[in-house]
Amino acid sequence: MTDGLTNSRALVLDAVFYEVAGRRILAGAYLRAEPGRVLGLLGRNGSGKSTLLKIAAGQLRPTSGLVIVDGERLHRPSLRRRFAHIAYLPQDPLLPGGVRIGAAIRSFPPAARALLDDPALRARLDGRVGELSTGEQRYLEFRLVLALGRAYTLLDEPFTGVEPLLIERMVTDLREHAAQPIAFVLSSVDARQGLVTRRGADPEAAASFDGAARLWEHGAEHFGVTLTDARERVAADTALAARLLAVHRWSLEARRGATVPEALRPALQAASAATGARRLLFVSGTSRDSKGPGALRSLAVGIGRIGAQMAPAQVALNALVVDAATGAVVSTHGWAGEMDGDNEDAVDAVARAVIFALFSGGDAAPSVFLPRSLRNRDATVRTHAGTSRDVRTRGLDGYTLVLSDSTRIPLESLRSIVTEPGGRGVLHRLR
Amino acid sequence: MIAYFARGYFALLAALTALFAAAPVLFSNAPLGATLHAALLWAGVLAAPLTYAEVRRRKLWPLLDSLRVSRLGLLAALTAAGQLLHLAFLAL
Repeated sequence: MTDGLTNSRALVLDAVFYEVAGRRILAGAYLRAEPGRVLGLLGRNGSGKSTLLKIAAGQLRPTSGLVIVDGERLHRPSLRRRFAHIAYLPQDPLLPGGVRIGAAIRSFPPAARALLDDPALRARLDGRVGELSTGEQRYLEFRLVLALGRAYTLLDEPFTGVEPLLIERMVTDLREHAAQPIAFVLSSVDARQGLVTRRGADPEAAASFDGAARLWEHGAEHFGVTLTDARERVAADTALAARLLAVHRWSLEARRGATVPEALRPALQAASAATGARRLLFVSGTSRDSKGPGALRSLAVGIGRIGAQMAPAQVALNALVVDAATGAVVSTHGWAGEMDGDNEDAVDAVARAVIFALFSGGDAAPSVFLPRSLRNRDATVRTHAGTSRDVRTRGLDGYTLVLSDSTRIPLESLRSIVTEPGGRGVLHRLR
Repeated sequence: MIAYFARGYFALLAALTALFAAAPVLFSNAPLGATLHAALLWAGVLAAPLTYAEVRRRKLWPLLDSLRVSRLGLLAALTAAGQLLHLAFLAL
């Protein structure tokens, strides 16, 4: 069995800690990027995504931890050696504003020369980089970094400020490069940025996403649980609690192709009418400790109250994508694991995962979410769909989110960026 | 890209040389020819860390790293080039 560290052909960050001014930014972060696999790095603002990439690129020295490229442990003084393998697009502008665009392109490897004929740039080669818009400059830098042709390409917020049309071209570039043995790490693969991309390719799917996103925000009301009174209502209303429990139990057993019970149809149709969505995100759960705002959380909290009545819950959260017209379950997503007080994040994670799954056309295999209690040890994770897989989690401060094993996922969306050519994608989630 | 950084270094070198050369002339009536050599030498030395600081302030190290240009090597080369200019000036 490989240990994930010395195995060749991988960029590995292991047990990375980073503290600044007494504040811990990273605590035992683990990341493994393999050639041909695309990694997405998800996390809230300040969760340490950019810091992790800076450490990988040698721009920051971690408080402790390892950076290993193709089995070789790297230290900060070895920047030149490190960049033999790594290309890095930082969050800040890569190019100085005062340099001429043509000169910047010519200072990169010959593969970058194609940019001299790029429609977005060719008329402005004598201008300076600073004269480009933020998005155009980002596009130029992105293309230049790709042209470096290194084995591991680290892209920190590559789509920030870029117009949809250029994002489409960047996505195309990424797809073409992803077919080669190159690993990308994209920080903050944002669902809405993907939506922009998706809109250009498939307005219908984008509409579905919009609906799901809005249902995420407002869906609780459609199931009779409001943002503010979920706990109290469920505790006081036995009939409502029984209905929600029945819904939850049904959702645990639902498979792709199943049909939503008649009793639920009116609620789903109302949600569809309210949001204009053809596909709806249906979430159920047994989260006892969820806190904070958000309809999805409230819904989970509400069901969590009655979830306490259930047998020891193996599935804390469960999400289905439902076709509003037919009531058919299009895809299923479950979070399996122990109840460990992290369910608030689990709610967030399941919602993100389902939204990503929607990009794939709603035909993704079930997703698996690991709670923190499963960190740092081998774990077998069960999904509600009855599948199981062994997942090794080590030092990951957050969740490992295995998006899909499906090889049928369309490659037109941003979702494809976090999917390697063989069909697997991995998102590392930082807290 | 190297030319861009070199331009910045030599602009700084020129400004510092002018400052170091002019100050003794203005404040002690020393002849310009006598102060110019020392000014070029010290300006060349001082311009290197100032260039380093400027590149760092503008967060341009990732660019040089991506191009696999050694930070130390670049500054050393620029300093050496500055002093070659100095030597050429001496030879005149």
